[in-house]
Amino acid sequence: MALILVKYGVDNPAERVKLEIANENDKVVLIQNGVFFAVVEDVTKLTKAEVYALKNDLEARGFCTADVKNVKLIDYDGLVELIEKEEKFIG
Amino acid sequence: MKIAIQVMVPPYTYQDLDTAIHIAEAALKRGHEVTIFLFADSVLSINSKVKPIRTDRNIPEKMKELAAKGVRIEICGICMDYRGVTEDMIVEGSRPSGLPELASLFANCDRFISLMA
Repeated sequence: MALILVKYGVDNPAERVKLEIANENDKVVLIQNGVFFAVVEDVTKLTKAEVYALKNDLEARGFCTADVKNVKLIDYDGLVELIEKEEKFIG
Repeated sequence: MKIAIQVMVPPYTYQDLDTAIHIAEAALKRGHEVTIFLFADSVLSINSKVKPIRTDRNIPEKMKELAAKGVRIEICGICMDYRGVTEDMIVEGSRPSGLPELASLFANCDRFISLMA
């Protein structure tokens, strides 16, 4: 359905709205400070969509795979793969 | 696939240009045709006079390398005027563009990635 990029941190109300309105068929990718959603919150309580996080940005902020749950970690190649699959985009 | 990426915020202060560069590189490797449209403060990223410290990445230089690899780099001309960026300052391979070109990108690309401000 749609690819939703979340790039601002947990205090950003617009990002929370994007997570809330996403449905089961959407894919959310946490990039930049958006990765903090996966570190400090349980994303399954925030959104119905499938959630991915960009490993590069997670590691750039000093976190690793063990620090996040309920998200699939991807690299830029994986992000482009999602861009290919999802026709709609919400930034 | 034709993939367009729009950026709006300045380089170094924000991460969007780095994100756009990495997406463009990965998309190129996967055989896609990539255009980066620089809007508002992001036009500062093609200023060839930018001189970061040696240990830091040189974003205008990276943009130049992307252009050499076939990425189309279009710059909003009015945004350049607003920031005093003139055509003689821009990195090789990038080109002043405008809203009509952005509109045609909307119409002709398969994927439009907007890194909103």
